[in-house]
Amino acid sequence: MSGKQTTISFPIRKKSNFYGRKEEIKEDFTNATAKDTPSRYIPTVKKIVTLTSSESESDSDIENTKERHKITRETRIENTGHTPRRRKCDDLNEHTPSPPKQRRDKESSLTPSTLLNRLILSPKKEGRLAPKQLFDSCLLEEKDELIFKPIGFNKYQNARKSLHGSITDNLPGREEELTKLQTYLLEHLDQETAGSLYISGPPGTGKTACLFKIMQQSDVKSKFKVVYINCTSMKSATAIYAKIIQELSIPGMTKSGKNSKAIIEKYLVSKHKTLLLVLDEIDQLESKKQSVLYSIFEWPSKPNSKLILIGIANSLDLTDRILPRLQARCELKPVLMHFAPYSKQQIFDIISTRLNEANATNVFTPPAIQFLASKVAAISGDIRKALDISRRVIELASSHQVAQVLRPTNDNDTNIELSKKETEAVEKSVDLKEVVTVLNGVYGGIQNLSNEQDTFPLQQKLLICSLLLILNKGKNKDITIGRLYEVYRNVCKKRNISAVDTSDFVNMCSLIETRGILRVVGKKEARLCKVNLQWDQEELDAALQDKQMMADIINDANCL
Amino acid sequence: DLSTPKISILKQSTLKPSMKMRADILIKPVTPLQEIRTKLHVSAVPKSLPCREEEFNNIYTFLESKLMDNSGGSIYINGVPGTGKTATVNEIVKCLKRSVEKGKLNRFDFVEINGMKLSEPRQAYVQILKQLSGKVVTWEQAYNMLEKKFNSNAKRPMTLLLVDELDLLCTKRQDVIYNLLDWPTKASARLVVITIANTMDLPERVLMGRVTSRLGLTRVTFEPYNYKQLYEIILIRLKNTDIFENEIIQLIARKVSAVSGDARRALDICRRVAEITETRNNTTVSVQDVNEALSEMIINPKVQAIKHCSKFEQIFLQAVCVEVKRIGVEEVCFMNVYRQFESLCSFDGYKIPNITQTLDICAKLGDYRLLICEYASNDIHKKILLNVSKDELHYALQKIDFD
Repeated sequence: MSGKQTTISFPIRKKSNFYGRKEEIKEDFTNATAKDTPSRYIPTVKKIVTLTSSESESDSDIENTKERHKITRETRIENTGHTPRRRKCDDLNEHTPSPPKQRRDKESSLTPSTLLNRLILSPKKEGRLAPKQLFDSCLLEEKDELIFKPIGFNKYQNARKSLHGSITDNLPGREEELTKLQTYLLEHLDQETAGSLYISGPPGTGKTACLFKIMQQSDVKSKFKVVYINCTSMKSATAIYAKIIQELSIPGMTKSGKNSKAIIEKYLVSKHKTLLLVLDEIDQLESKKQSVLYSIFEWPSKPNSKLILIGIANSLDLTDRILPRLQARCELKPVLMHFAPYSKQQIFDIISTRLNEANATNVFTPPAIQFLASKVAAISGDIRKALDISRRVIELASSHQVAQVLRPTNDNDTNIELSKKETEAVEKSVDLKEVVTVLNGVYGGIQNLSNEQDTFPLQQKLLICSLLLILNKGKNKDITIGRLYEVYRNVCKKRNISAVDTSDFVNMCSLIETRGILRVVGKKEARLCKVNLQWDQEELDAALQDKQMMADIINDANCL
Repeated sequence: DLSTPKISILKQSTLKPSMKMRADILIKPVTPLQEIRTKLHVSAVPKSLPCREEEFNNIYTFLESKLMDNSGGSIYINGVPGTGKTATVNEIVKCLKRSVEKGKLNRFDFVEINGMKLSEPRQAYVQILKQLSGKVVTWEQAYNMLEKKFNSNAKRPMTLLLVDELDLLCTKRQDVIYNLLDWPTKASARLVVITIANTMDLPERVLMGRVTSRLGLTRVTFEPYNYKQLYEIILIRLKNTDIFENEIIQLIARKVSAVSGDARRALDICRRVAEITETRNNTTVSVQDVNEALSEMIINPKVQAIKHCSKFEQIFLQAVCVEVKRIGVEEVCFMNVYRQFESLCSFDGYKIPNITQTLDICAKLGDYRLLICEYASNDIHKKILLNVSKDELHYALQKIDFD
């Protein structure tokens, strides 16, 4: 960077032309070629005014870079790592309340740092800009359609898009729960009573999605004041009060947050719309005495409070386990509601409705979806996993279709293009075979290891075999790394293989641990760590792929 | 004045941190051996990564499809150290950026954090925000800004977030990991998270159920390199030179693949071999050089340490060994060892050191880590464990007896 700094001089001009030239720039740029642009866009600098504060300095940066920002958008991608500062300007616009505009006009400044930053916009980089990239937002989207749509695999793409894992409005398979929730809410609204509800269920069963759908409904939106808080974002359990106050925008918050609880309680008994407070992942609020959770669950029973509290978590018995005192008073007891894992039929319905929505029904054959659904339902019933697997299947299918030979070289882009053109026409639906491949990859476990090529290092094999030897023939099954090392050395000596030394051996143990075969239960001294085998022998048989050697070692009691 | 930047300026990152420049120009490698050494350096990542085509293809198609669909997602990449995980991902990102330049893909932001480089898991928010917008704020503010950014429906480019060393972001509450993986599930976030860790079963073993569920089942495992692959990797680095013979590369590849399959280690050994050849003023590498480098790498420092211990220290180690043999338990008491020590000393005809001196010897051996001494305050009742294997001890001491 320093080399560039020295070569460029800075024309100084008055700031008045800065805004005036804005339109002119655009016009010129569309017609310009890449070569002659740089001379036009050498960043210019305002008149030097003494710096009054660091804030004002950054303001002036915004002003200077704002216009250029549009131009450099495209080039910025390359410099991501190096010039984080330029990014700042669009984020500033989005997130932080930007300082009032008049101030900019009054104070503009020039510091070494602003000068330095302008230097980054050296002519060379600007020169790389193709003129049409100026209006990236509109142009690129058009290009999108032009390039991707005609190529024959938009059906796969549609299907892949429709099987996304984010929250949707259409929730097949949760109709019952939705009506239950709705009647619960409306009942309490009609009777103007407070209530608490605890929703439990394993991950990926649509708890949050259901509540989001209900919160989006217009009658709920109009009749309730809805507050949704995800408790994982809290710093500590007590920080939840400050967050609630912020969400309710109650005035009178002190900095210490000491009486924040009192403020909320005061608000609850005062007159207001019925409050619907949804606390997601509520088990994050666990503390030593559970004081926060208790006080939150006590709010609905406060006289005159119009609060409906909904807590969401994974464990079925959270309220019984960590809030046993709520059982003592019936009015405090939250209503429980469980979201069962999705059944096979429900998963089938979800995937097929998603595909129907995207007009990509024939991407999957029904038996393939049936098989996928039954497998996922049998293992976890987690819809995220089902969608993930189906997405993977489509990815696999489309990559088969394209049959691309991607090599990580410079010209891989052209490779894709070529292969795309070759196999453009073929488009068939995904069958059982692909689903089985993906499912085996995901749930296969050991099968993953047994590829054709043998990637298990020899010394690690010897280590595992020595461990099996001790477990099979040894009297003492309590194995430390030190003891394992002695046996391993004996094994190596017998087979005329040079053994590794202790530190490498400990390292190897941890490498094997990453595969999940071993667990090293740590103490301070590496030698005294205990080694536990996590797999059984048949699994290891499959993984090691060297039965001859294994059988030899395991039955060799002399090495002990 | 540039020499005294204000902290506030640094926080706004209007000033970039600069390093002091060298006074002299760096000398370019002259001899072919020196040139080879720079090529063999671990940091010199080649343009094409050999033997990782399948993984490359897998991850590339995943990321490309995400970028094309404008949908979020996450992928978990695992494998033992030195198997090319980070290099492959970086190469993929480079390729994606190239296709952005060609106008085939929409623009995307790339953010990279490394769990190892964070003082605390929550600093991840600060780093992400810093790379996205260039501001440095406290983690709470950073979290709120990111939350707002990813929840807003504004038209933003896709963001690729690479989280290296994921296991270090695990805390008891796992809130950081949860948030990083929860953002992609929101349709408005347009975020793709690439997570890298060593452990194959990390999601099942350490992470909570809800985090595992969000992490998804898109996983790629990088297996350790076998000897053929290591051979190919070294060969590509040594293109167009005949300094290394094929057999020599084979030897190194086999040695490394037998232990760990770590490419870094293989390259390090090659570099060391080149250095040894250079000191010998040879132009081509001989098997002797390789053997020397390997024995240097595989050398057992403990045997050397025992060999260089004083006479009494060696006798003390022997006494521990004899005592272990006598009672058959690894853990022995200092008192009993001292008795053995006394008799061993009188066999050899030395004047027996008193208990205080022997305790000193014992403490010194404990500091060397040849012994593990528990409860240092227990004096003569303290328990002693041998920290070297008996074979090593015998091997080291025998040599001395023969001399």
